[in-house]
Amino acid sequence: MSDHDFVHVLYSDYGATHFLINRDQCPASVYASDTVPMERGNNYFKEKLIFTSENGSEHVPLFNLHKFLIKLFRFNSDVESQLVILTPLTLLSKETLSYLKEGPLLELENCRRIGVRISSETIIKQIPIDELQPHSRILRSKLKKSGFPATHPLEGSMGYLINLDRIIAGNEGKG
Amino acid sequence: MNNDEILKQIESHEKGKKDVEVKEELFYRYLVFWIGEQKFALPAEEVHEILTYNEIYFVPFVPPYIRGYANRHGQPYTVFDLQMLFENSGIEGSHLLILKVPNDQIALLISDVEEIVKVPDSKIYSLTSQDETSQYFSGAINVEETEIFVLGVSKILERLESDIERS
Amino acid sequence: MKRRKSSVGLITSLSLWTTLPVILVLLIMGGTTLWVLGNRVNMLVEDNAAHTMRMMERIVKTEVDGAVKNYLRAAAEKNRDLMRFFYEEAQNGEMSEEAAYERIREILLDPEYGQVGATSYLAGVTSGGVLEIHPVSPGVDASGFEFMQKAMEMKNGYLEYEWKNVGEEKARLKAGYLSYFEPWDIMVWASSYKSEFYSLIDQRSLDEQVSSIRIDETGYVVIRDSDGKIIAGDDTLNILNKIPADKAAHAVVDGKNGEVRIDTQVQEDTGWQVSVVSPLSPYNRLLWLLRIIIGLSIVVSAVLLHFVIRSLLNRTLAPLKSMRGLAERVSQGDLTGRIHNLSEDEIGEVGLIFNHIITEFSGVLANNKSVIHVLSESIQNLSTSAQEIASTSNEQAAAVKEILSTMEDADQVSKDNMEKIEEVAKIANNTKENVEQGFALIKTSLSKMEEIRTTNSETIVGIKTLGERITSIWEIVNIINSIADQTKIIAFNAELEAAAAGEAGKNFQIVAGEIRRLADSTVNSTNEIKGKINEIQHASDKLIVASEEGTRRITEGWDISTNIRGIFEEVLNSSEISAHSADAISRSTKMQVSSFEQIFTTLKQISESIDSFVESTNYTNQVSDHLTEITESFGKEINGYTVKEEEEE
Repeated sequence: MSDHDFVHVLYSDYGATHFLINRDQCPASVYASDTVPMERGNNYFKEKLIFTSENGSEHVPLFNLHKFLIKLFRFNSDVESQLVILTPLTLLSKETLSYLKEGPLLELENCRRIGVRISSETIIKQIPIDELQPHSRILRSKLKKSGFPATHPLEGSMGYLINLDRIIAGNEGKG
Repeated sequence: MNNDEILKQIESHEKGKKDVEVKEELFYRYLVFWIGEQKFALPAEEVHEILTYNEIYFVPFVPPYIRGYANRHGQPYTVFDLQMLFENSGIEGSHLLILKVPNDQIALLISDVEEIVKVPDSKIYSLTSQDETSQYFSGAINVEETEIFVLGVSKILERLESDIERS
Repeated sequence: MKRRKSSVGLITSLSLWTTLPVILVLLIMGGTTLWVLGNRVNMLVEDNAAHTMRMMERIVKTEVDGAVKNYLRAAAEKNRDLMRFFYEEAQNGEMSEEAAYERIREILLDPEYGQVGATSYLAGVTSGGVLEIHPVSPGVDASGFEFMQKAMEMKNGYLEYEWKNVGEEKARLKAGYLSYFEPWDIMVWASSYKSEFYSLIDQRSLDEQVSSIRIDETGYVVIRDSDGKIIAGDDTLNILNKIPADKAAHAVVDGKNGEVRIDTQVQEDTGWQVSVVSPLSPYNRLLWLLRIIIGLSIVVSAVLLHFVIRSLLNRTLAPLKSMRGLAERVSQGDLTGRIHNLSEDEIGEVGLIFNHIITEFSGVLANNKSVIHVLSESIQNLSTSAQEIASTSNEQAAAVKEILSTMEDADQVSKDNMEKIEEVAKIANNTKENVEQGFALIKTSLSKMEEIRTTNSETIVGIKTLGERITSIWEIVNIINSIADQTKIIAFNAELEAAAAGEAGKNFQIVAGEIRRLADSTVNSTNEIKGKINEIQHASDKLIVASEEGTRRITEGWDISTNIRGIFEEVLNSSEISAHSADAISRSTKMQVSSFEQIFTTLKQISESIDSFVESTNYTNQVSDHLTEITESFGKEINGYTVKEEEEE
């Protein structure tokens, strides 16, 4: 049965490590070329996108997941990412929302979504669920809490499933 | 001696041997291996497999003596570098000992495997002192006049748990 | 001139030498006198002592004898009277004569009554010498004995004789007194050993006699018994105990008032010590006085004599002093002095002669002085003129010589030049040939070097290929090694599985063990191979480096050779030019040389004649120089003497 269960993911390849983000967490994506710096930014929330439409301008704060992961996993990459995925605030957990509202979202008007910069080498894939493995028991809780709930071990590359919600809130300012 | 007598003697020796076997001590098997310049041992039952040339993938948010994950049969194994734990200096390590830990996937990064020895009960000791490092040993065995510490895996795992909890 | 001993010293030694024998004689005389005197004194004292000793002997003897005689006489006469009593009793009819005789016999023979002294007894002896009444040997005829014969003759009186009792070793002096009773023809004999009566003597009398003896006023005599107790006399100076043991007979001891001589003699029969104490001090004092007097007189006479002689000599030898002084002055060159106050004796004569000699000598010197003066002047003149001539000719000769040497130099220079130029021409020609040869050589070398270069490159390529081959071997070895490693791990894993399988896996375990051991040995072998390959690799690396080094060197050599070739070409060109010019120079120089030679010969002739002239003037010069030297030295000698201005003979 498990053979037929697949999951759609965004697959960011960093060489010996790769990352998976559940597509359901981020339905939209956009190429972000012109961003505006945020006044009340923190480590990884330093910029925002401004969409203007008939509804007005929407401010979208950007979390630079790319930079974050580079720092955390000590990758040798200085390539900038241009890809941004967009997550509606509704998909985020209460804790995350409250954290954001006190920080980066504080003065933002009309903010309905946050953006997450990810590696430009990201592709969409369908991964069979049984390829995903839980972490080694002893490390499980810690990693889950930090936003990496599961692993995706491949020959030559170890993958990590990313929970955007926890990553933004659990590690903001850290890393 | 004629053949009958020889035969008798041989048979009596055999009996004797059997008797001896009965009275024989119990032997236990230990795997002896190197972590850096130090020799350690583990009971053979606690070791599942020895792997070579395994890539270790970095894992964040873990203590420095956890070198990362090794991929065995599509499963992530937590890799311990015990020299990092004991002496704060990591080894190059070319082999992995896959341990038989129930409900988890644990591996030890080691430099080389030495041998599997049969140790009589009499040469298995428990440790008397409990200093910084020896809390991770379950005892010691005497092999060819040398004392080799036997690792206590559960203690090591306990340490990791407490370190993670604190962080 | 060596200084002789001064006459003062002479006088002292002379006087000493004359005084010495006199003193010696005096000393000998005085010494002898004293010695003789001393001896005489000693002898005197000795004689005195001996005389006193003899006297003492006699006194003692007399005393002893007297005591003994009296005692024995009393005993003998008493018993004779007793005999008479009993005889008269018998005559009176009181008893028979035999009974009376028997009575007296009994009495005489009674051991107690009849004892005389310690060991002797009374006896009755007939006039015929028969021992009628005798306690030991009655009836024995003793007329044979000498003493008995004497007794038979005497019949009454005292006699002494030597007697040995039966059983005794030595004969002792016996004394006996006889008292004859005619009626019965019996001599009553009381005898005894003298020694047994010494205790009887009248000590007081002896003492009186001894004490009265005086020797030189303070000397005395003391008699002591054999135990040392004083029997007679008085040891007033208390010196008898000071006699040293080894000088018991004659000793000289220090007493209260000076030296004392003690002569001691032991009386044979009594054993008494008779000591005569004679004072020596009066004699000693006398002797000392004499010594002092003699000594003093010797010293005084010596001193007197010495001074007397000394002054005598002084007076006699005074003129010698002045003569000596004068002689010294002469030796220093001062001839002005003379001896004055000449005495009338032989020494004065000598002084006269001395004066005369000096005067004569002064005269001679004065004459010589004037002669030398004249001589000196003429020589000086001669010398001056000779010198003038010599210097002039010298100048001429010098001038000519200069010209000559200059010419010689020039000549020499031209000759040298010529030689040198010829050499240069030769060398230049040689050089050209050498260069051409060298050139050919270089060509050959260069082509050889090219060959070397080619060979070298090929070698290096070969080495590099080898290196590559080694690398591939290396890879293979590594592969083998890794397989062995893997095998080992597989074996380990197998063992682990087998351990887990328990009994069932035992066989499998053994096999796994074997595989592991195989893997181990493989690893060992591959390690060895690795080692060897390493060595080879190192060797070939070194080789490459060396070869590359070699190549570099070769290239360098090639470059150098090429350079040399260029240089040689230049040299070849220039050497051609040089040879030609050298020839031209050589020819002109030859002409110059021959004209020089003509001038040269003429100058030489002139020089020779001047030379001979200079020689003769030089000779004259030398002679006069010599003369001057002689006169100067002579003059110096003479001038060393100071002479009186005017002489009086």
